[in-house]
Amino acid sequence: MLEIFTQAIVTLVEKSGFVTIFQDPRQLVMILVSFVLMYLAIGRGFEPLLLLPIAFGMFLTNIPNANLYHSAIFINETAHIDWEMLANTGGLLDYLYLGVKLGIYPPLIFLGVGCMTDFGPLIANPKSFLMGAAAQLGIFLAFIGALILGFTPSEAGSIGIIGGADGPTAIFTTTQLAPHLLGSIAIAAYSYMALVPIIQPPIMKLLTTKKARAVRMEQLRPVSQTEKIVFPIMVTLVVSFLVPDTTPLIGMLMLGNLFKESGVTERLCKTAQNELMNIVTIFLGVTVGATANGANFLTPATIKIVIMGLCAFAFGTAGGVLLGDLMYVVSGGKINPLIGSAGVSAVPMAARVSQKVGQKENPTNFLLMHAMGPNVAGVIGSAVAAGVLLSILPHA
Amino acid sequence: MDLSSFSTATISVAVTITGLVVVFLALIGLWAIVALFGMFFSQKKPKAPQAPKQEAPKPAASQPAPSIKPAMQVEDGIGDEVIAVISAAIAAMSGGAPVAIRSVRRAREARPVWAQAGLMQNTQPF
Repeated sequence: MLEIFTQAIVTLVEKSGFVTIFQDPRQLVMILVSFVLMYLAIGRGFEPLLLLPIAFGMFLTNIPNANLYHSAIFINETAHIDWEMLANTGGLLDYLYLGVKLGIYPPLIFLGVGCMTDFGPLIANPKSFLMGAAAQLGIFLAFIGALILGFTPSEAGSIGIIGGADGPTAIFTTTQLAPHLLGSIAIAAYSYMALVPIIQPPIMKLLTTKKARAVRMEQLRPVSQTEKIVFPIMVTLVVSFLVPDTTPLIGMLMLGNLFKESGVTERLCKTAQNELMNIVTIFLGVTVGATANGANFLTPATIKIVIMGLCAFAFGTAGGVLLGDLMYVVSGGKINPLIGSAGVSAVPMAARVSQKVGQKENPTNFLLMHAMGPNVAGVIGSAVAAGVLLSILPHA
Repeated sequence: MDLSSFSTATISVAVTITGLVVVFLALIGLWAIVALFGMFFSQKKPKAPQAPKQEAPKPAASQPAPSIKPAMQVEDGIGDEVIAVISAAIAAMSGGAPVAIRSVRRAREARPVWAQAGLMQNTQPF
């Protein structure tokens, strides 16, 4: 009796995290990193809806012997999911991660995003599409930078897509091109998105003149409901025909938008943008965080990813603003170049930054709705860029 | 696509050019289509025929005689009720001191209070 009791206690102690954590100190470091991210999400309000689940997923996956997530199931020599291993050893997060690996969660998030997005400012001022395209410059310059730093083309493509400033697009692309970098890339992408108000203003001021920043833009024309209904169908048609690899993202984004604009599917729209999106966000965040274990996160590659991610954001902002400058000149001073920076997506944060910087020059100036045009064009632009990378670069 | 036979420099340039060309192509295409749609679908409201402007005599600034009441210059589209409300508001705020409203026109530069409140709310996090 006493022997069984003693043995049970010994086994429990041996299996407990307090003992085994010291066998691989990287897990301890990762737990501390997750605490820092939790602080950033809760204490500083850095994209808390995603960063908090990501941080907690990271915390859970690094708890010794909890076996919630096994990266070997998804990242192995065959490049396919090891279904046998999943059936035998799969933990909670392994099953939830299937939604990431199979490319289900990001398009569902886009469905909700579509329900919440008003493409009206873009339809009213379609020139904004150009700024949305120019702001994708960051993706490709960061891609070149990552190649120079020694990453493979597929890894470099995944790192570059951070410049799209679009979480679901970055996750969707990375899962297919370089799943082993998913944790680092997702954390870098969401952290920089939260830092957009700090990263963008100096670049915007550097590349614009005081006079151009103070330009007041004409009020946008009202957009008819017919235009708003036709828009999502037309965008899906054009973009999906041109870049089929991006159809899951664009298709779901535009389906959500059609739910919103059609006016006949209010219930579906409410569900997609609230309950469904919240559920998927929890699953996506926790499982993406779970991929960040010590072995693949505590490497020099993560530092390089963080640096290149910053470059991607900076170059993307610069690309948008420079095109804004060009449009300012061509339009004879009618377009405020500050709205170009909103082309990096990060809806609606980047548009708010344009508004804020513009208001500093001219307190009565309101650029918010004008900046929403390039902002939502950036979402379409980054999805197209992701489609290009997915079609050219070899999949993992 | 198998890229193993190409150098890093070739891949960098090729992917960047392809990517930027396709992104611009797609979005310029969308711009053209949306602009065309805009031409067909935009609800261009027919401009209301310009009503003849009220030729109200402009009171001279130096005119000392208050007995001659100059006509109030009122912008088109502002109803009598609105004038009455504005006058009442001014009278209430001036504390009974005699005031003369010379003209009433819309302050075009100003943003509606509710729109301003909405924008403030949207940009408050910074």
